[in-house]
Amino acid sequence: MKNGLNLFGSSAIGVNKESLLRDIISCNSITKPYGLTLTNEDAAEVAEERNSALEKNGRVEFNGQIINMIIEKFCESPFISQYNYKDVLCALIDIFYEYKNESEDLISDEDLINFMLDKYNGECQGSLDLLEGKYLYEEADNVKKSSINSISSLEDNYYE
Amino acid sequence: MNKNLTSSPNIKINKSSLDVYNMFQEATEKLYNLKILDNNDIQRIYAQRMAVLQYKLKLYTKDESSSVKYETAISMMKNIDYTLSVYLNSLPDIDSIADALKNKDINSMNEEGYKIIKDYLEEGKILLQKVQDNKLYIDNIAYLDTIERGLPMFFKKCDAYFNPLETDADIDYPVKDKKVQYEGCGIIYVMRYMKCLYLENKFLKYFDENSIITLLKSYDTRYKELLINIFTILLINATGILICGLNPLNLNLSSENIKHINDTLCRYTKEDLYKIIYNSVQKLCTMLNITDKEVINYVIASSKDITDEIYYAISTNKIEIAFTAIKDEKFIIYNDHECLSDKAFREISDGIYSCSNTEDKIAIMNKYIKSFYDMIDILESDCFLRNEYGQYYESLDLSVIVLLYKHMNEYDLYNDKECYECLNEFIYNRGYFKLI
Repeated sequence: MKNGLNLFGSSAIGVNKESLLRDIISCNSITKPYGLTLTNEDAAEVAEERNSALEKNGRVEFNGQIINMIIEKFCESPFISQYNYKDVLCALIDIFYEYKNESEDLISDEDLINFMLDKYNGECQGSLDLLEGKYLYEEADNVKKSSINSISSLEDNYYE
Repeated sequence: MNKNLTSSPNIKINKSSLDVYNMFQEATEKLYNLKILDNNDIQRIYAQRMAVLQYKLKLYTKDESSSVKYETAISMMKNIDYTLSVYLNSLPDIDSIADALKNKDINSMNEEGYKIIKDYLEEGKILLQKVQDNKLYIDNIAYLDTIERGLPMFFKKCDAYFNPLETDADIDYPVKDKKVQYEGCGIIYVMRYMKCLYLENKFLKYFDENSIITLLKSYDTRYKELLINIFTILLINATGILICGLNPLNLNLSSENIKHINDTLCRYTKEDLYKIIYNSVQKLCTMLNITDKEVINYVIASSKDITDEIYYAISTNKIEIAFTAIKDEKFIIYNDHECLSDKAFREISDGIYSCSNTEDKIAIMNKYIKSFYDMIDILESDCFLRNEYGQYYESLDLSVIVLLYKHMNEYDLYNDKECYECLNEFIYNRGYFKLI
């Protein structure tokens, strides 16, 4: 797979490393009121985590806005503080790409992040293990099943 | 526009030497190796190609996802390259291709390639209608299924923008040209395939359909299920008939004719054989009054392939695998008798069981078993020993043997009972296969 990813140069198409770091740092202006900021080193680590997560999950990103989206949505969470901000962010990015695969790309980025936020703040009470191992697992399964049912009913209509 | 980018006394590329399905990659590579494209060109092409990929993925995901699986991205990239190849293939020569790669934006090439693909699809639907209109009513499953279901399925499913290289359709019937049959994908492949099929059908239309069916039945009784090219079988026979000095419209080659063909052709080298076949095929086109130049060219171009098949058959002493002797269908009228009652049947079968010698068994059978189905029941009940079946079959009329054989084949009983294995051996040993 590594050779394959090299076909695109990296796992992120058309995304310049410097501009990515700038985008991440620019989110500090949104998160600062919530007591959350990322240093340049933190931003580099988050960017690197994003690349690893993409590679690990066999995905290619062509529109590098996910990190910003996750930051903007989760910065208000009562379960994230400056103490765990970077680590939670890295974990959320990893979980995000994992469940894009598990749901077979049937759920949009925004819907998935909203679902993650809802469960993280709600039933999971800040537990990433619960979020990943239970709620996202169930949701991915539900999404796949609804898709199979839709295809079956379409086929039934086709063959009637 | 830069003219004659590839002109040089030492550098020659022919557009026709490039693989049409992979023209973008091949042309870029070859022109780079020839230093017609430089590193800046390659970097520009790469960057623009990535930009097209980004844009297409955004559309593909309806702008709802910022990432896709690696396989999706690779597939999309291959489809972009295919579309670019379609565009480059539309250009007249290698100079135009070089000029486009050097000076034209990849996105523009992609858009123009997409327009060409859409035009191909529209042309393809018209060609498909022509193929369906000129098809033969021959009950070969692959032939009819490909024309009536397989090819239309392609046009229903083809996604010209995101997935033009996918050939998601069952196109099973083999055309003469193996290169067309087995190489390529997407709309270009389907167009080439349909063109071959259309020309083959046009040629076959010069012959009577019933004669063609008789030829196919003689070729193999299971012709309906086989993946055979009807055009080849007919063309070889028609050529053989011409060699015998007979009327090719008849398609009627006898075993004697085939022997004569073998005796005539076996002394020639492959090169000389090709000349004979080529001349015969040309003469065939003239005798049939074929005026369509495309059909003539297609038929004549097949001379090489059929020469190879005929030469192989002659050199391996199996002329019959190339030429087909027509088997006349003769109808046998068999008047059957009523079946015995259960009681009577049991008495007779017990009587046969208790016989110690074969002659007595056969005598009882011939005297008391008059119904065809009673005979089958006795044979299947293992009243005879393995070495006795042959003797019994010897006592039967040929018409009964034929009926038994057909019954065995119809219900696929060959491996089921000893009596049928022995029947098969009996027919083979007596050489009755030629008659059945």
